Amino acid sequence: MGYEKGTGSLFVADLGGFKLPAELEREVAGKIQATVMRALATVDFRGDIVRRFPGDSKIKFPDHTLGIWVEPEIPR
Amino acid sequence: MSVKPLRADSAERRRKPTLCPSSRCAEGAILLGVVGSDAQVQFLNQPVRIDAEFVDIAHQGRRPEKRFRFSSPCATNACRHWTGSRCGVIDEVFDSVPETHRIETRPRCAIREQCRWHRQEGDAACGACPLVITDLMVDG
Ligand code: SF4
Repeated sequence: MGYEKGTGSLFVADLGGFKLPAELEREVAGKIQATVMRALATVDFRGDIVRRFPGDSKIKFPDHTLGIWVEPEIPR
Repeated sequence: MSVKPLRADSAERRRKPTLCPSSRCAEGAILLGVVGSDAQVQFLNQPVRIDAEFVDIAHQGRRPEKRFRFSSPCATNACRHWTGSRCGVIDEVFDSVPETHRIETRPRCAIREQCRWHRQEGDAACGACPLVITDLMVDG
């Protein structure tokens, strides 16, 4: 089994030979990551609607949750 | 919003607990990947712990467990999927995902050394894992 190659989004701001002061560099990097995470949180490709394997309907777990299920919490 | 990349230090890994690879969208969980339009999970290169702001934004849309995969410590006996000795979810996944659909190339996955399913099934788990959508309930 091989490994998948990464082809996802990559954000780069190339300042050539110029280096920001370390503290400012960290601050900017944190802001970029936070912006990306906020955008990511809104993503919905609706893949769950596309995907229906015949076996899905036979999943025996209540509410078809294939995830952690800790009592007294219920899946929905 | 603060983002904490996970450290890959091996001594730290040894101390870390076994992780559930199909957990809930809750503060402190690891964001493993995003369910793509082809219904396959695209794993993040660098998994990150999600914070309250991510959880809040994600819950404004359809249920996050339909759209993302999250990871958190395996709850063993506290989880209804625990059979007494193993996680029953991966067995159910193997039953529901046809062999012909399984993935040849295992995804880059930062939790592999701690993953409950990988510990049980080895690389075979990684062939079916990208096809797992945590919440399969039909909307509505
Ligand atoms: S089954 Fe494999 S790919 Fe899926 S979370 Fe576990 S180690 Fe990662």
